[in-house]
Amino acid sequence: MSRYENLKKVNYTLILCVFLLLGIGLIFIYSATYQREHFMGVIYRQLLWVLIGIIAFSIMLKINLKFLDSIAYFIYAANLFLLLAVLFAGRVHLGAQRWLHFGGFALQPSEFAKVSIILVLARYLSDNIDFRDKISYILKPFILVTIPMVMIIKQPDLGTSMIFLPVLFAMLFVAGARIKLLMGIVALGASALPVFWMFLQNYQKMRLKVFINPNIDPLGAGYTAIQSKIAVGSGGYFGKGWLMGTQNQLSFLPERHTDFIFSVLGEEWGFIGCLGVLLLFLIILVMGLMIADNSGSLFGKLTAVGLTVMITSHVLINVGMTIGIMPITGLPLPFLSYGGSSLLTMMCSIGLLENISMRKSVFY
Amino acid sequence: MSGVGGRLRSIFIALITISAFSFLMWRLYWLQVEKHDFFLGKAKKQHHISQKVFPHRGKILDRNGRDLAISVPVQSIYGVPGEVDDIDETVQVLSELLNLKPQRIRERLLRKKHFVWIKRKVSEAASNKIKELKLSGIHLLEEIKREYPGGELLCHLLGFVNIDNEGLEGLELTFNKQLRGKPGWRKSERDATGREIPFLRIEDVPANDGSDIVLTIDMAIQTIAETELNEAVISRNAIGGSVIVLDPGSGEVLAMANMPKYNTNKPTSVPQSHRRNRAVTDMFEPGSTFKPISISIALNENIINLNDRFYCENGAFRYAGHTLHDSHSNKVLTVKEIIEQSSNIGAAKIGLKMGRERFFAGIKGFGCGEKTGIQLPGEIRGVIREPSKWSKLSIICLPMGQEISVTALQLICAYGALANGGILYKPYVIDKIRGDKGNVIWEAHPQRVRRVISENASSEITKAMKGVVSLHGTASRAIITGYSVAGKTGTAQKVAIEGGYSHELYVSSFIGYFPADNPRLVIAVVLDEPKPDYYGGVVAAPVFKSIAKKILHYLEIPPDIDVSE
Repeated sequence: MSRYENLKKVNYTLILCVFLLLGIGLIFIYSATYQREHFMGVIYRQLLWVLIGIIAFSIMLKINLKFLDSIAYFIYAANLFLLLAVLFAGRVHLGAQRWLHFGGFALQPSEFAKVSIILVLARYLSDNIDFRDKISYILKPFILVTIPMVMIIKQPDLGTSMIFLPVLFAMLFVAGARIKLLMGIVALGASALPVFWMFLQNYQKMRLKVFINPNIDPLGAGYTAIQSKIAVGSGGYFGKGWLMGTQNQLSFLPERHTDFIFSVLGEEWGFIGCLGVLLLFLIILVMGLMIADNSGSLFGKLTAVGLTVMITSHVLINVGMTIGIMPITGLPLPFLSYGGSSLLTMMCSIGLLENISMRKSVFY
Repeated sequence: MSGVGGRLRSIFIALITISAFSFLMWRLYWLQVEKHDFFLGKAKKQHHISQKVFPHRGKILDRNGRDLAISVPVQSIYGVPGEVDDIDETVQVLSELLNLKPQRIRERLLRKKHFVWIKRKVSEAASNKIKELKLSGIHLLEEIKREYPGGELLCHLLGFVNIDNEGLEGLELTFNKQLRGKPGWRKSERDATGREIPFLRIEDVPANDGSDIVLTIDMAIQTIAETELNEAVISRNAIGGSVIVLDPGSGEVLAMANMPKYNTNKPTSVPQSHRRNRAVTDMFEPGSTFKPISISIALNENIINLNDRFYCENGAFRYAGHTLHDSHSNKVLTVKEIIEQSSNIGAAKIGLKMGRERFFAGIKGFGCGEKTGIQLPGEIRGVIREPSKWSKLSIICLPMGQEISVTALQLICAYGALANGGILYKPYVIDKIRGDKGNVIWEAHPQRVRRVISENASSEITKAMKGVVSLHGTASRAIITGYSVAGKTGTAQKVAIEGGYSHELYVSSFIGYFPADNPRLVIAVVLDEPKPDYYGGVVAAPVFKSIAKKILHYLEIPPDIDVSE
């Protein structure tokens, strides 16, 4: 197969959407930080991460899927080790232990877990596809997911750990697990919610309480939720204009260049801008599922579904929390939020998707 | 391998996700379009700050431009709770410097607010210290403080203001709107920490300073009046008193003094009763000082002449089952002598000759029972009953100033009409109001209320009252060498609490004007409950005299009587 043939199979729509989102992200990170003294540092760092992301994207594009399939368990085990290391040697930042430091770099192993779990699930589900009617076909993947999930909850990072559930269900569903069994597990999980509540940290309980009613603590836990809604709501149809958002520029919005970048977008570009960004994500969703559908291998298909659902879940949860229909969790908005680990994960994911897209005709 | 897992399942996932996205979009539409105004309002409320810019309250000046009430900038201390670093130290330092309880400061600095007052209008020493210390979260704000350089001087007229410079009493209250000015405002934006962002200032409307008010009061005359009244009240053991100095030709009030008084800079340090402007808020039965008014009505109606003779019953007049007494028994007195001797029986007989209706119309004309309309708060109307409610005795009691209550101001205005040829003027204390650039906004003009008696009646009654202030009248102690003075004494029994008249408590008064035939000033002196001496001629007339003498000197009014004669 010629190089030219391969390039023809690259999904350019997907890449275009990603780069548009990266550009919009940079524009609004600029807006969210330019009142600061050394704000250009933030922009340069994000630009650097975009470059690193593009390199990661290229590596993922070239990597042999068969090779990835074969080392999926190893990657999974290595990731578990890193997560364990975080729990023992991680840096505490903003009350959570999420970072591992290597020299000048800070890594968030929980970010990479998002990909490594998808790979290991794709491996297991494709390996055992003949037993897909059995209950173990559902239970074993559950165990595979639960181990890193618990470790991430421990950090504590509830938001990231929650991402794995829709990913797992989507992959099981597409792999052909029995719907009755899946529904049974959902029912079981729902009935276990009160038990789950008991394991929550106080600040997490508070976040859920203020999600129900932000006004119980408007200057404390409910502050972010209220401020975000005010920022987005005051944007109107067309927004207040770039750099003109009062709630953003006057620092009423907390965490505005990271988790709440969408609020800045909502305030400054309004409903139209939000719609545009959501449409870009929708295109990514559709492209991702099309790539899955056309994939030449079950491993590739399941990986593509997992990655697509993972990215989309981030969007739904993050945007949902900025407009008050989801509780506040520390999940970034893919490609837009400031932050290297998240960007790297997303770029790797896109690289893998394109990889799967390019190899669709290869029999595996 | 699309057969594995089935394409349907993928489509199902796409559908679920797309419907979730649709829900997000619907929600965004609701937030950003439907509820846009609501959230925009909330946003504006958060980041807009509207800061009031305080105007300078206008000055109050006397007729010669002397400062009576001024506004001076002072510093106030406020805190921004979020900015305070070391609350323990801050509380300790502030409580020492400002003499405040530590708990009070701590409680305020712990409030969830962006602004709390610590103490307003502090001394210069304290504010300088605090400025030097640069405590984090503690700031100074310039405010305007009202000061009264005279202290107790003219306190009842001036009144005072509250901490926000709103007038509470006196002219500060009546003219609050003019003095206050119009506050300006600065609209700008603030960030989440409450700091103003100067370059985002939207509007900057400067304050309009208040207008200055120039009084008709002459501080020199006021000082004379207050000093003499003060001395008299103390030396005569009175519980209070009033002095008014009035220009009979215009109704301008040149001085208005009351006892007891208070320091306007510390108005709350005295009981409320000290703050009453008794000259307009308190009424009393005038007694004999009312006789010239009664008799002038009869003269005006040509019912009597100054030389008409009345039989005075040898000092005891039986009427309607009661006996009316004079202090000196006389057989026959002319009308002039009735005034000079202050004969009750004579006044009663003149009253009887007039009859109720004409007499009542006359005293109504002089403004009894009506507010004078002076621009001072708390003025009362006094009490005068309709003739239909009079008893049989009323027609002999009223002419000598019983069964009627007046304020000192009403009385002196009536005397103004006796003095000036018969015109009643509306009294006033405001000469002009000047805008913040010195331009005159409003100016007073003498206001004639009505003619009350003829010029002839006026000169006749003046002639009689000149006799009062003579060696054979009741007010020989008011004689001023070189000047003709017309006046009348009054010694009124106070109405006792248990009913009837008291035999111990009196209101002693003297009202006089000079030079008698071309009067420049009327002066009323009223002393409340002097003891043991209580005759108006003894206790009030000398006060009139010493005030008058000093004013004559101050105003350089030339003598109108050749002393060498």
